Amino acid sequence: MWSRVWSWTLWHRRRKEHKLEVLRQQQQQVLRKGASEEGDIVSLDPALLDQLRNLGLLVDVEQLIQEMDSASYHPLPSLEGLSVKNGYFLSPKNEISLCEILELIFSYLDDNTVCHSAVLVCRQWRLLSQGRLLREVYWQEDWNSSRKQRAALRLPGAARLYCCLPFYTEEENNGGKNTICHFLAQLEAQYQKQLAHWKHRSAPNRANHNKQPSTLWSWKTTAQPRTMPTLFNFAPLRELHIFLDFNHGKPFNTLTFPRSLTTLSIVIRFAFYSEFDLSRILRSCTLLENLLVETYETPGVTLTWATPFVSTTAITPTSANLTTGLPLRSLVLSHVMLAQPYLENLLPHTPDLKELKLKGMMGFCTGKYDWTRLASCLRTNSIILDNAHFSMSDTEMMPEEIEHFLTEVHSQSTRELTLWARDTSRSLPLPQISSTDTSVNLITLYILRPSRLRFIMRIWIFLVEENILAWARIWTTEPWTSSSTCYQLPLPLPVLLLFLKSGVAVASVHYTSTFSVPRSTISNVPFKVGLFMATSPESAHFSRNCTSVSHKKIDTQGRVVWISRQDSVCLVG
Amino acid sequence: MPVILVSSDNQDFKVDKEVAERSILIKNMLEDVGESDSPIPLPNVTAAVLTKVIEYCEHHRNDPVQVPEETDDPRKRSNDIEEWDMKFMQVDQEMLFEIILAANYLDIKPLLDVGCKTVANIIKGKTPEEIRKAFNIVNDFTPEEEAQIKKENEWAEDR
Repeated sequence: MWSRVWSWTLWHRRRKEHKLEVLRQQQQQVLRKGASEEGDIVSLDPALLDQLRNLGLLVDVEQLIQEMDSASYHPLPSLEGLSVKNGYFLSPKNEISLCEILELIFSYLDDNTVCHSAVLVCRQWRLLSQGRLLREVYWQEDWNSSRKQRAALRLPGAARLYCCLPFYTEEENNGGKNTICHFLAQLEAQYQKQLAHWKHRSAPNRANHNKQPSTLWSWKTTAQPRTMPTLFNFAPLRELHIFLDFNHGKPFNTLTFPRSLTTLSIVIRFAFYSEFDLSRILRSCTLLENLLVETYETPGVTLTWATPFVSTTAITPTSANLTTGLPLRSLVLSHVMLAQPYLENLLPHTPDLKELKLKGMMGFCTGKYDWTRLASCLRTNSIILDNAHFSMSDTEMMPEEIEHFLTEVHSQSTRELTLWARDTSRSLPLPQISSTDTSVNLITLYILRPSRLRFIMRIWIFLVEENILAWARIWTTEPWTSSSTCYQLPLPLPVLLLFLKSGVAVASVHYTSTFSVPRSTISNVPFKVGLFMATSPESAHFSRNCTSVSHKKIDTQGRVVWISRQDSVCLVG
Repeated sequence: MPVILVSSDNQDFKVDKEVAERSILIKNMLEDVGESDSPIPLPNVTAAVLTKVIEYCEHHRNDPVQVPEETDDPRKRSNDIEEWDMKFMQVDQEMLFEIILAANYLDIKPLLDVGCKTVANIIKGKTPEEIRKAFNIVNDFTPEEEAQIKKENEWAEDR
């Protein structure tokens, strides 16, 4: 057996040496092209070195060298110059250079240490922690051109994009060159180009194997870039969060959603008689795992379903993996209209669905939901949800429907229970909330009648007093209403203080207004879990008059709090 | 039944099979070979390190098998090291790295975790320069690249 192990080791080592030799030859070819007349490698154009680095050649060689036994490695003549100048190829003196061990160590570091210390240590540490560095880009469509072009420079390689599309923009009328639609289409084209290249490279008998992959260097914007990024290869956009204000039946059906997206959230405010095709998004974004569509302060948005999925094999051949279905894991819809048959058409294609939240669904155009039938559809398709919530905006669940939901749909193992405030009653069976880890989300209307609010507060107080609540999240939503006689507090201060004094962590979600508590109020609160409070990106970054952007801070005991510029804690997030 | 482990510097260590099998590598080897008295060579582990590893395995011989946590969150906690483990890891840095490498080679996940947590705790609170100094790492960034990285990560900073 030992001989087998040794022969495998030898084979593995020879394979590495062979790969190193191939890389060395490739590198020499490129170096020869860019070297000065005397062939002095040290005097190479720095841009060429950056290009090599972007192509991953230097990194590959470095990694191979580090993996090899340092005693058996002699630097190749053509690379010695580089090692003298920059120390690229020094054999590692510290032993913790194995990638998998470093990755494990990094997994025990907090984001703050990774972002501010680890990435600046050396090139290898930076590459290994790149997965933790999601570059975020913010975009507001009514920014001036120069600001948008600066933001556009940060788009390639960004993982997350927050995008605000206000009602009217001058750009839109000027041909749309500087619109996010234009740049998203450009990102998509770049991604497709990269995909085609990868496929080409991995295909056997490739003809142009020396052709270089497209990198940031081929990225073109209308502006002259001030600095060229040198450390990233092109990485596709993963998360897109769109905030749409004053939408009147406009742009979603024409917007290019990058196919690389794994998370898409669309929040719409003031959308009158608007609709867009949900099936188009699900068909084009075939990597999508999380989808959220939410509206507020609006009569509702209708989600249409132009191209139903006929069967598992009917999804377009170029899109999803037909044998495994769509990778959707979370679908959250809030205050939108989606006819139940459309949802039931989707469910057979989402075998991995774990979260389905239908919050305050509007039914005046599409009809009311039959929750029992929906539960039956989930069961038929063997979908077991970890997190679930069903509610209609204008209809309360029947008592038997609530019971059915709690026994059939609500998973016995879940530690999260989400309730619709209108469905709460004194006789509400609360079967699962016996663990201190249970998180109870209570979805309430932002504008709430005092009698209902008092009742909800009684439930919360009961949960707190019984010490069965560790996490409380109150999601306040704002459906369209013309009533002016309602209670208008997003989170009642007495309830908040009760939570804090009881050591219950609170997060509240609210979009339109900030609600601040003096810092001194919470300074001595013994947190059980942590206090996560933040201004939502939409309200912080996109509200034209808002200046109180919150930022994460970690206190001395490792607790995370979110502090705004005004030195107060914003209870929105 | 005892098992004989041979370190890279040819020292023999006689340990209980139960203790040796904390190492998944050795466990698999023993299962492959079956009942055998032949010593197991560990060419990547020196006697000094093997002594420490055996000490750890002896102390944790009755621990339940660790079930890997399935979580999407890449961040884990590093402040939950047991008191005995913390004292066990109070060694010089070279030995700490050797133990981590040995735990990785011998596939002893709990020991690897404790080692990595200890290193993570050393890293925490240090500036990049202090980390380089502590771990003897060469800074291979150009000043322009350093500036770029700082700029790239501005979003995470307090403003």
